[in-house]
Amino acid sequence: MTETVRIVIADDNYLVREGTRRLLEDSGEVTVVAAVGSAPELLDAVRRAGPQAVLTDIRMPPAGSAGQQGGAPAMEGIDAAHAIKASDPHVGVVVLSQYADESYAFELFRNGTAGLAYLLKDRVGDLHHLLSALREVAAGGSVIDPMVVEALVARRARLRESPLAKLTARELDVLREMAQGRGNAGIAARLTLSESSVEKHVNAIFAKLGLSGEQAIHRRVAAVLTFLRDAGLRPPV
Amino acid sequence: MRPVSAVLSVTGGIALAAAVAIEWVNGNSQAAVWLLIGPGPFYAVGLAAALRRPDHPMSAWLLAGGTLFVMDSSLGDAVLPAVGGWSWAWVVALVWGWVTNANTITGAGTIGLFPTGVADGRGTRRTLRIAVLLGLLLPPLYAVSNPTLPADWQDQHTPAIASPFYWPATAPLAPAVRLAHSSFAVWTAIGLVMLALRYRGYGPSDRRRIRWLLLGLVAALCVVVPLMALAPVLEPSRVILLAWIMWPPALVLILGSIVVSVFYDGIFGIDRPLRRSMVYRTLMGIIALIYIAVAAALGVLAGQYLATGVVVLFAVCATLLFQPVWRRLERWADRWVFGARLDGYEVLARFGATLESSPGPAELLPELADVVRHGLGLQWSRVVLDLPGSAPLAGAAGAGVDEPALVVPLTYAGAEIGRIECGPRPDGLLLAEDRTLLGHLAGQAATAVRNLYLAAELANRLEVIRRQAAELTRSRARLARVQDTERQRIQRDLHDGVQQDLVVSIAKLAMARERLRRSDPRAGEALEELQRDLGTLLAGLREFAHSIHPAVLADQGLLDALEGHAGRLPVEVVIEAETSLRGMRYAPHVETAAWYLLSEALTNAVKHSGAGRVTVGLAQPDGRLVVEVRDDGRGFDQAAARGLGLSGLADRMSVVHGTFAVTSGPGLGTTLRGEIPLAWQEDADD
Repeated sequence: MTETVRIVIADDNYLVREGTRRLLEDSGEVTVVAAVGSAPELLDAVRRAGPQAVLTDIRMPPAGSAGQQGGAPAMEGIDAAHAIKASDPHVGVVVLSQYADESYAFELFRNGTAGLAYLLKDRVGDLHHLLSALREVAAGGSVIDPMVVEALVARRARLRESPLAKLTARELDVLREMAQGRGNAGIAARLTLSESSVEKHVNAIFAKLGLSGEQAIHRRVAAVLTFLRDAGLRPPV
Repeated sequence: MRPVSAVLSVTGGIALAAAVAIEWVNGNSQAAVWLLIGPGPFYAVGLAAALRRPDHPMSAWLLAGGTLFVMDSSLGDAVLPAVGGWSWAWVVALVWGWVTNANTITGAGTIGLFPTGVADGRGTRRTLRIAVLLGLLLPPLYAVSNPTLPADWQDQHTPAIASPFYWPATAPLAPAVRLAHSSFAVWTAIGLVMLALRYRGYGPSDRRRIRWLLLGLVAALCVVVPLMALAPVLEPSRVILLAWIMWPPALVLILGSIVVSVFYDGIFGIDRPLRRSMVYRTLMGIIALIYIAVAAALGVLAGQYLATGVVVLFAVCATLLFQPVWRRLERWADRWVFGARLDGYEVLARFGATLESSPGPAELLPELADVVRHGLGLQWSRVVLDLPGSAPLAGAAGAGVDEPALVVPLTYAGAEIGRIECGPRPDGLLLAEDRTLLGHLAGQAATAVRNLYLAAELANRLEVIRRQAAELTRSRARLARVQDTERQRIQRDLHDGVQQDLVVSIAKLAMARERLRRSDPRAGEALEELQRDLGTLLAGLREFAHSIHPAVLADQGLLDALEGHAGRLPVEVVIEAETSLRGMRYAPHVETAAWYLLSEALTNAVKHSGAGRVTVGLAQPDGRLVVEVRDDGRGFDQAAARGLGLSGLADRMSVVHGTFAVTSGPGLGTTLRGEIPLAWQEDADD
């Protein structure tokens, strides 16, 4: 049995917050040191309790303002994640989002991917995935929800002129895993390949996409994501 | 020449020649000259008329008048003095009386029946018959009631001729007969009255034919009547002097007017219109002539009673006093020749009043035209206002609008905005002063017409605004309808989708509990299924929320929302945009409208076009957001009715002051393009 991970949970919805807390505590792998309902409370709890990781909802409207519509970006979860990373880079942050749009993930990874994860709320029902993400960010890794990556890659790959069209099916699989934040070993395990062949695939992908080989995992993730992001646009004629 | 005319001509000629010869032989040269310059010209005019138009009744009247005048003078001045001592001199005296009266009657007839020479009414005919009857009866009556026959008043040498028919019993009648006899010349005046009465009843063209004669006669009357009135009170020598002074103008006036009337106004088919300025000058000359004659006569008259110095003073005073009369005559002559007109000041005043009353556009132009027409005495006049982009507006007054005789431009601030067109004057040319006046009018009118122009333009614009407002109302109604439809869709989706799914989930949960209670090993299975269902439901709900209004649009902006949306669609979507547009935020109403256009266009492309590829362009050139969605699908015929979806898009774009265009055709794909200005501030009107 591994050591429990000390975490802080933040969600403005009481039922979701308490449900998640019970689910995680029941697993016995996590110690919830605080459960709060707003971004300022979250920052305060992180400062006082010094957790290894944070699990936060992407949207936490200030108490009293029910309306979340209004045009202004209401990404309290992401803002909080950036604030936590700025004050204590060792605390991992998992942002739970109800949006599959990749742009939120890009917003979260604006300043780098290390110790950050973007997961859909659906993962609350997938305890294993949720726990591994928490452990990953606590260890400084990064995770992107496969659904988000899938949508991102699928669309880019469908564009006829896209460089992704030049990748083989296997290389696309490897790219997806890379984008989700996995290292070579993780990819090899997921795709049941040898690490050396994963490395080959990675090099081929980087060559085909015109990216320089990056060894550090979090930089590699960032490079892949940036590439995927910009591959979605064609300059106007 | 007809026989009667021939006899008259010959008789007149012989009489004139004989009388002149007799006077000359008798050493009476003054009388001979009088015969030549007095009755002579009348005879000559009659002869000319008879030669020119022998069959015209007027010629007969003129020739008879001339001949009788000659005979009257010959008998009275030459023959009677010569035969005065003879025993049958009374025959000559009697004939002379008849000739004199006949002369008067032909004079009255010539004047009174002018220009036809034929009596046109019972009154005229009866008057002439009475004159003839009196003319015939008076000489015998005179002879019966008076012991002597009438002698020429100016001749002191002729001895009185005793009447052989004198009947003393009738002596009481003598004064009345003498009066009737001596005043028989008044019949000429009656002819004048007949002419004047006819003048009153005539229209302008007939009036023009006789007004010269009327004028000449009235002028002659002004000369002759004072002479006749003064004759009894003056010394005979002075009367003769006065007669010499007054006769030439009288002769010129009477004969001149007859000649002008007969030869220039078409009575004899010789239609030679006189130049109006010449007429005017002639008229002023006549007035001057009368003036001189009257002044001279008054001078002679005064000279009989007063000292020379006083006479001079008197003459100067009279001249000064006459000045206003002169001016009035001048104005009258102007009006008479050039027709009834308003003077410049009056026209300007009326024009100003018309402008001040500021009638509507429909009335102002014709009213201005009317003032111009009246003011200048034109046949017609027209005021035209040029309008940019539409037909010119015009208002006319008078009939027979044709080629204008004069066009005066209406200028405002250096630009020509219209013109005043003038038709011809019915009786002549436009003068320099008319043009000047018209120039002033045009200057005044330009401002008013300019206002009218602005009013017309305003009306046009109001019409456009009214149309736009109506379209806006319709478009709002459509938007409201679309919103209602949208709400109903959301309600139905929630009710038929999410709610039913949740009911199923509750049932499955109950089933799982039941299995747990019975320690059925399939409980985990049921729970697993339930978790899967709920995951699907959550994903569905996410898509549903996204379809209503994607959170990413509000959070990340248009391009990110578009990219997220494109990933969900089952076709290839190429997004053309500068990377600088990423994270670019616009006012919420701009983003919402652009998003609505994008999502609708993409939905249409996916659902209806059968396109394999859709290209979305997003650009921001010079203060506008341009959104374009092109597909390579089957397209549609734009002439066919547009769907509610497209008009809904147009409405949405118009709300943000944007434009919307569709380009499509069968087999050509479809392009939707919207442009939204970024500078518009949304009004807080909802």
